Amino acid sequence: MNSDRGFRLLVFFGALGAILTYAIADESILTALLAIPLLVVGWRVTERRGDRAVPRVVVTLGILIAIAWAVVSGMGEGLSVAHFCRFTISVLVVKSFDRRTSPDLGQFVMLSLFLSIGALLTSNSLWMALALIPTLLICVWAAVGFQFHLGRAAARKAAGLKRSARPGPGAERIPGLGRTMTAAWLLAGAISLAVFLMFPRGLGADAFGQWGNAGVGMVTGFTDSVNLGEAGLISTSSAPVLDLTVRTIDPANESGGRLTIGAPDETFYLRGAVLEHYQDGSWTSGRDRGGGIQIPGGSNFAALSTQGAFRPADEQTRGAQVELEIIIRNARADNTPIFTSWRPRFVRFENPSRLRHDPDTGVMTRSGQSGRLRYFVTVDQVDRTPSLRPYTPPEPPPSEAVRALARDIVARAGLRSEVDRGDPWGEAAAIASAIDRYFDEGFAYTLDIQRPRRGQDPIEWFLLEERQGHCEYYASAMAALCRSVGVNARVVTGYVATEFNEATQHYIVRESNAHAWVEVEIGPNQWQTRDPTPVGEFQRIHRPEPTLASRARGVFDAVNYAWITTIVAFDDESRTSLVSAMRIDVAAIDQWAEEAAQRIRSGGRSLAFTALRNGLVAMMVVACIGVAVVVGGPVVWQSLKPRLLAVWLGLRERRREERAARLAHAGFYSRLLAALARRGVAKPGWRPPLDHARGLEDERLRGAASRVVEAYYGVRYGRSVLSPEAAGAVEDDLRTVEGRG
Amino acid sequence: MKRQTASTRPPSSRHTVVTMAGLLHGLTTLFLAIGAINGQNNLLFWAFGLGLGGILVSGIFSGSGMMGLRLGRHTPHTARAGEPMQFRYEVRNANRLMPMFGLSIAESTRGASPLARAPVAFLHNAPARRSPIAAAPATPNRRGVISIKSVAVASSFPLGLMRKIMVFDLPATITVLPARVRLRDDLVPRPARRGHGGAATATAIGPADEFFGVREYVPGDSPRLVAWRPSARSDTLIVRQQGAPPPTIVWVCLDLPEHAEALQRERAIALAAAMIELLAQRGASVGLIVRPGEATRLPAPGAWHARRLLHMLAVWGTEEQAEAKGAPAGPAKPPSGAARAFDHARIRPDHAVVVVHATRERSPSVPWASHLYADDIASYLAPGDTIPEILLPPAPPESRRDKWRRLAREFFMVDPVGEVVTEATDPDAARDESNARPGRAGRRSAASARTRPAPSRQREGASP
Repeated sequence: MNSDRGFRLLVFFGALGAILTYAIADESILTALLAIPLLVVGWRVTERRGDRAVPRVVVTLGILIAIAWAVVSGMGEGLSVAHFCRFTISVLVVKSFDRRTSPDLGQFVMLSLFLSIGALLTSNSLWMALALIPTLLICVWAAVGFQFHLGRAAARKAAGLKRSARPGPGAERIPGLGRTMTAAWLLAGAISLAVFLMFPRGLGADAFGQWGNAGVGMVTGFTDSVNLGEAGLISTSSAPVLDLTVRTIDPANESGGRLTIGAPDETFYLRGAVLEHYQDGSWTSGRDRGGGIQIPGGSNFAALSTQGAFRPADEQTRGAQVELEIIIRNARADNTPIFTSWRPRFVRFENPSRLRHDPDTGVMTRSGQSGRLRYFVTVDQVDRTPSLRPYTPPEPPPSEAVRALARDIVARAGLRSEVDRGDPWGEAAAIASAIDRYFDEGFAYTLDIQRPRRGQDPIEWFLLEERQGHCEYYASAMAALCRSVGVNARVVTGYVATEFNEATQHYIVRESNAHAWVEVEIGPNQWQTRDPTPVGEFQRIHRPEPTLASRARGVFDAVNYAWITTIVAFDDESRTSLVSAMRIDVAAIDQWAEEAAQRIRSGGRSLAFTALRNGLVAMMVVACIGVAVVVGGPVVWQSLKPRLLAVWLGLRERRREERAARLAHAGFYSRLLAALARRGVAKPGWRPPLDHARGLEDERLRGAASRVVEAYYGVRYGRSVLSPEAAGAVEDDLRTVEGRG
Repeated sequence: MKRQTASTRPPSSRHTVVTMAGLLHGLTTLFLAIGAINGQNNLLFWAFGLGLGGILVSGIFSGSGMMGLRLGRHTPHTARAGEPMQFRYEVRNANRLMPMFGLSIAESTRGASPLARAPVAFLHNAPARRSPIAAAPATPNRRGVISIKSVAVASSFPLGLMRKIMVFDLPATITVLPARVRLRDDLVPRPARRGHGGAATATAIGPADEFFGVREYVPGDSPRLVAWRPSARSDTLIVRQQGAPPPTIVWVCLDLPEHAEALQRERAIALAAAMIELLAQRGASVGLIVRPGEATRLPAPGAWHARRLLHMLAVWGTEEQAEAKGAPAGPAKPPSGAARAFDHARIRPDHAVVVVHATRERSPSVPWASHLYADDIASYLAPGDTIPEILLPPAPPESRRDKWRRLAREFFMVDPVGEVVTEATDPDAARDESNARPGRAGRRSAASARTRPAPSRQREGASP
């Protein structure tokens, strides 16, 4: 890193990593395939040709073209993060062909960092994060290396040498740099972790529109209308859209215990839109989306009443129900469909939301903060909604041939060809089953369908001529056939949750899981879900045979889910519980944040400025804390240092005095040595005293000397003081050794 | 070369400058904060924290690392114009634990200076409780005096967001002597005649024939020096001592008329300095007269006196001298006649005189004087020596056509492979290399100047 070559490699790999990270974030393989080879070629050629691979005019032209392209495309489509990132990538590629001075390399590092931030603003996926972290590490190392590079360049310039991107070989190894940078990284990481954990969430959200939200509005694969005869929006992408966790609420459990359920062979239909009106091959909902009621975010469920009003739910009123926890990875700010099973009873959002609920169809749309959306819905396991709604005959399909076919199907099943007006729901379920079975034979599933003739009803064309299509055709045909014989039916679009991850006990729903099916009214306002798509085809599309790749993807999905739930979905609730566990009182912070958010919400025209002000205040608070630690820490240390030093010195002095006091009592040892020397058995310097004493030949002398030495050991090393009795005994022994006793 | 040393000392002031990168980093961090608040994107919160952490870490690490630095400096007393010199710094890191990295050490000179750029040294690291040495090369581009006021030690480690600067007051003065020129030996003048007929009394012991005195024999004395008669009289061996001949007195007269060009003046001064050095080596007593300023140094032998003369030449007519006197640089007084100057100088007939002329005009002077001309400098050089680069005429101004050609070449053309500047640590080598590159108008190659055939004036020969 410290050598010039190492620094240049870091710059190169930083740029490479940044482009790769953005390509992953943008899911743009084309970007990676185009930019990375060009960067590698440019870098290699430029390295070989002395930092100038192409004439400057080409580089200048390239950058001008990049700027012009960015301006033109920005004016056409509006400026966005994607524009900025693509522009940055193009400049990086162009500049890889021309790096003649040190600032060029610095610009490389800076552009790489900006591109990394662009990737952060584009996506918050795990793959992106996995690519981003090493890229950031490399870029920061390159930034550190650039300081050395600049220093060498300044010295070179002062020596009157020519400007160059190679100011000298540098040092191969700088002692202590690795340790220092590790400490710096740890400190910066600790600060970023503290900000991540402590910064109040929900403050000033969406004050500046969608800005700062990675990939907002990427709920794709789902449409709230069906247009037969046109190129469908059926997506085959495996991009995850939402995560579903299903729990049963056990009414017998007084504590309201929840049990996570789900299995690989169990399917959940998540309704997004209900389409009741058919005209000219198109199904629409036919209901306006105005109105809606504000419900607060937090831990309270709101009951979805048939009157469209909300009230806090009473836990005790629930029966056998299922709770769905759904995380939409990237939701829009307005009219995001709230996917749920039939029939939703209670809903709870983490953040304040404006919810529109249609009690007849159960369709909910939500407006509020964009980005990741997490909500909980409680649904009845059995639709037992009492209703006094009278039977309303459905609108029959326009095609007489379809109506005739429906009557024929029902008649062949041994049922009446028309619903009995006296008992309209008596045979509704049976009729629906008969029609559902009709699609089991003679029909094929395909996404590659032809268009019907102009003026021909697409349903009639599908049923009587083509007999192959995708789920929208099957659902439309079944709904039309049911309506032909007087049974109320409607087309529902949404997702099917089939991919159960056993490691995380949750379903992952992808774009390719978008689906259309039918709901049939089998009782007054009681709707039964029917899926006419052939079972085999359904299995092939939505539940393919597990392969090695799919298993590996399952492992990754589990990690990704952990990433989403812990990092991406980290919210105020998580923060509060975490901080509470750390025994920090966050009530004041939360109250302040809530008041600030309230002020922002009611801010009207000054919304953005208020948000900015609060954000800046919050940032300043964090910065002040940091500065206080940095500035105040040394001051506190300086003030404490003398006291601590005094205490330490006092302790040391006391120990020294004690030792001196002990040794004062150990003067007898000198007498012993002198006496032994006089008797001709002096202790050699290398021999331990006790060893020498025990090695004396004269038994009496040996015993006395050994006892004296043992007493000396006790005083010298055992930190004990001789008692008067022991001192007397030592004196007697010493006399013996001296020959006086 | 004798060096002047300033012991390591604490800084006199310290300050912090936010760099452009730091400003950009701060704005980006603010941008991330707004994005995080607005979008509630957790990764942006993390990135914001990382940005904030970067700022704090930069402050902490560079601040604490710089806190314990002490600086000392070793510089030569004198230097030569056009020759590289070296400033050496001892950076003592008094911190117990904290090392410091990426230290730039830059001199801050006072007033006009012969250094085109302040020397800068770079130190990769200063480990805790160690005193590494850094060196900064510098080449004075003219004679004069380098007055150093202070030294600034700066570091933007680790991320370059802020630059911590510590200023150490280490005043020093370096005299830059005129460019070094080696003259031919035969240019040393001999006195035209001995004015006193050799009657001068020897003042020192030497190898001459003249009797100086006697002393007792000491082992090692040549037997031929034994004075037998005095020895017989005193009963001890007595040896004779011869006296040394009185040193030749040479006046170096520097003729710098007002209308002389700067290069001619510099060449003349360099020639005079070279002559003084040569004469001093030969044991002559050298006196100096500088006209038209009429500065005079009376003749005296010895290296110390020669050094005084060189110092006088080093500052003569420079901006530093003008600053010291409070007058504009260059000849201040109107030219006066040579005879008047020589009257003042007390030149006697037995004194040799060398007049170094900046121009071709030969002013009235003593008849027996030798004359050197600045324009003929090449012909006075010792065999194998070349004219120093700073005494060569500057490259002619780049013509418009050459300028456009150069710009076009830089803009359109790619330099041939293999002629790029490779990694060069030796400043001289790198400079030579860069000078040797083809097509660099406005940069005269010193190497080519040295190997260029002597111009026609070189064949003119020396006047003496």
